[in-house]
Amino acid sequence: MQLTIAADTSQLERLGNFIKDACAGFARPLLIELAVAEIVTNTINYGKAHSCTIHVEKKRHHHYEDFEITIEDDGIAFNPLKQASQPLGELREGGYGLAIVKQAAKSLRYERLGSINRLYLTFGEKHHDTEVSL
Amino acid sequence: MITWNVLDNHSAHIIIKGRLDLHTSPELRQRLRDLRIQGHALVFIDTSEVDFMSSSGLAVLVAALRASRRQSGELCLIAPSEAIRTVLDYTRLEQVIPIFKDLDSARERLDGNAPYIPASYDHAYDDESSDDSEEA
Repeated sequence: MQLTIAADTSQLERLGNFIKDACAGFARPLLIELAVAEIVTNTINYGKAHSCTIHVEKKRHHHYEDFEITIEDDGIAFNPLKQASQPLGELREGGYGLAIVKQAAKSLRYERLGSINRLYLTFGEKHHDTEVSL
Repeated sequence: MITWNVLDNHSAHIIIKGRLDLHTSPELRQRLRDLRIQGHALVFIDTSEVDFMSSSGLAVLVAALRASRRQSGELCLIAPSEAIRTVLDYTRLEQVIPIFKDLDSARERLDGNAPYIPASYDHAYDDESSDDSEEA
């Protein structure tokens, strides 16, 4: 399933509804919605993107399923994996979005393709035979 | 959707329903600011019907909490929903932001005659097993 939205805060609820539908089989779709919203919020707030495309695919493995989310935007280059982690548990007003994403997702991978940021997120229960790459 | 009512000269009760994200949180930020300007530095926020909160919403709550404390007040969350608890858990703020199961227990704890000093508040979830000792 795929959704393309304008990079505008008014689209966040629509994005949330899309994730709920696309990830309905996941035990905690809220986690996926939260992580995706954090990424798209960054794109809107700082990336100066015009649009974002979110692609959701359910991958069946032998004993489990993963949800693979790809987020593309046309904003300025931004690799969330290279951002320094800030301490948790502090009463500060920023810097928590990516910390939430990194905890919620099973794996994250970023690439810059021309003028496009592409972020791959995987959600699912962590198994001993899966590779975790944060 | 945000509704509120003033409880007395220094405290107010806010109820948030629905989403709290970058799009909706400015309304909450303004409401909290307005109440603070009117002297309501003690704020009880019912979040039981919030079905989504991002870090943008959290930022508004943290900013308001800090502002309340600068006015010798406090901000606490009442009956946080799963969406709220998830974010507090992931940010390790569940032990930092005061949380109560209902408005009565929050008011009993925070709305005393003596000024509330939050610096020593180390665990705010007011469950049945907690004692009734007063905060210093």
